[in-house]
Amino acid sequence: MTSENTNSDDTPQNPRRPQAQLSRSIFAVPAPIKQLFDKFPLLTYPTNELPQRAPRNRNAHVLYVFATQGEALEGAPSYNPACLKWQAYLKFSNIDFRIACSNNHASPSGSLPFLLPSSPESSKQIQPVPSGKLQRWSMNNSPSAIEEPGDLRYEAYLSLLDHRIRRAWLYSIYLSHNSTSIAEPLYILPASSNPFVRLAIAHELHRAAEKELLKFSAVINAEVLYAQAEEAFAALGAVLGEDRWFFGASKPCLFDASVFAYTHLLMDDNLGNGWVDTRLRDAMLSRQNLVDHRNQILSTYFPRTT
Amino acid sequence: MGSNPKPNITLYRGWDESGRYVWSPFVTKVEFRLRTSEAPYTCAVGSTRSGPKGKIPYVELMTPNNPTECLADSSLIIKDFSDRGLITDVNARLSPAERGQDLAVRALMEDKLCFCHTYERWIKHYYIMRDHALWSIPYPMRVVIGVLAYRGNVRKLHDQGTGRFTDAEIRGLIKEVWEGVNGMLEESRRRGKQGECFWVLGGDEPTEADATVFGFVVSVLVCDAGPESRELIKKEFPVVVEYAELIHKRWFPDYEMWA
Repeated sequence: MTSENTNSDDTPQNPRRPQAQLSRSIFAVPAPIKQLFDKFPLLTYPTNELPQRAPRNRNAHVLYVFATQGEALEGAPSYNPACLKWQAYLKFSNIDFRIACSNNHASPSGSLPFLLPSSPESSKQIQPVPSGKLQRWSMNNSPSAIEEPGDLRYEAYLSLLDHRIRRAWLYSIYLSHNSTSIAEPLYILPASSNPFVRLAIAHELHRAAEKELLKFSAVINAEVLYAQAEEAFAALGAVLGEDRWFFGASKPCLFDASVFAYTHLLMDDNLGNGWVDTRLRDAMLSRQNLVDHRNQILSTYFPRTT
Repeated sequence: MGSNPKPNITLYRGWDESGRYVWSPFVTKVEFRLRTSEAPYTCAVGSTRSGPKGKIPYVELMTPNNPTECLADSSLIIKDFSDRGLITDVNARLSPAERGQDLAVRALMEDKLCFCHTYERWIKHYYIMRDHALWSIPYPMRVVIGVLAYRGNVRKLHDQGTGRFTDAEIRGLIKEVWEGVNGMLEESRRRGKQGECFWVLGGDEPTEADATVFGFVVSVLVCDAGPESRELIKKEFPVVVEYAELIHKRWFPDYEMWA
């Protein structure tokens, strides 16, 4: 320690002290070594080419969903309602995109779907868009953005889909006899060829569905769940009435996509290996206007599937 | 049906607060249905531990010469009472479209808003909520049970999805729900007579949706663990408050009104 250090005050008005301290610090890099390292890097190589398997075609938006390879190539509707909802919504918004099959582990948010926007420069890092931000993203990127109807009942009817119908769907797909005919071929068998891994995934899926249902009720009662879904379908059928789209809109919106995500899959005879427990499906099929609504969306926006 | 003696109904509300509304919207919902049907009932305290499904509210039905029956879950209680003719089946006269709308409003409040309230009360204002909800548990134990309840709610909200939203997003969701309800009530108020009760679906009589909406409005107005929601409806949705005030004056005059 120098006398300068010990005697001077600690106020910021004295600029000499920090400089002196820095230059004499044991952590300071000696000047010759610093000059040497400043010369690096001696040479910067150009960016490496992407690996062979990396997607080459970055000029289209890609929506990652649950789908088989063949379905992804054809752009067929996803077999997962959450994915199908956004797939249909992007189509309603006239956004040109393709779909790719994926799984929850690949998603930055932990669940599908997510969208990778197109990029003219393949080396540029693109931020994926999770499903929660897809509506805003498509409004900003669509040539004909969809205005959601300002109907006061919109939110109320949406909670019928998000809760009552979703709960019955979870029961029907993961806990009823459909678990072996639908959930197994769609979600378990493609995930691994190892029987132990498959068993573990099946167990996990079953537990997750159970846990989700137990949040709303102390016991899981299939009759109650199906009765609630039937009431919800009746309510949706009543609000659609004779209209083409929900809430009298002139073109389909996110609500139509949310309804279609369930109605299409329920009407799909070939979902997985087919329906064994048909109670939820029958409840939906009894609403003719919901059936017509689904058929209309399918023929207009998924013509190849029809 | 008419020859059977009517059972005595005891409603277990979870708190020892006679002459006051309790914080649970589901208790007020059942009380609303009983009072609007003019069905006499007695209030008792009870607790989630002694209830048949671990939930508040639950009811006991005592009929002479018959074993006592216990029912839980507000929706199941109302359905059962309606089937037995103890309360009026208010939705019987509704058209299919109105019945659908009624169901949607109930789903909005009970399936969506309820989780936002759990976040606001159990996460944001935990200590107030803990001391009120676990009032019957003595203090040192209350801390332990409270922490377990807190963890359980954090996990439940995260799994359910509400817990993944930011605070501002959850406030936005709550506001959206009240905007929808406020819009329906404003429309109904315009059509009704000044100073008379008006109802969510705009009819002359209350429906099941009114029981739920009234339960949630009162719950927000009396709950100290949800000051943001209370502020929101008092400042921005005066029609919602007026709706509750008119019902209070007509059907709950013996209860202390919110401040």
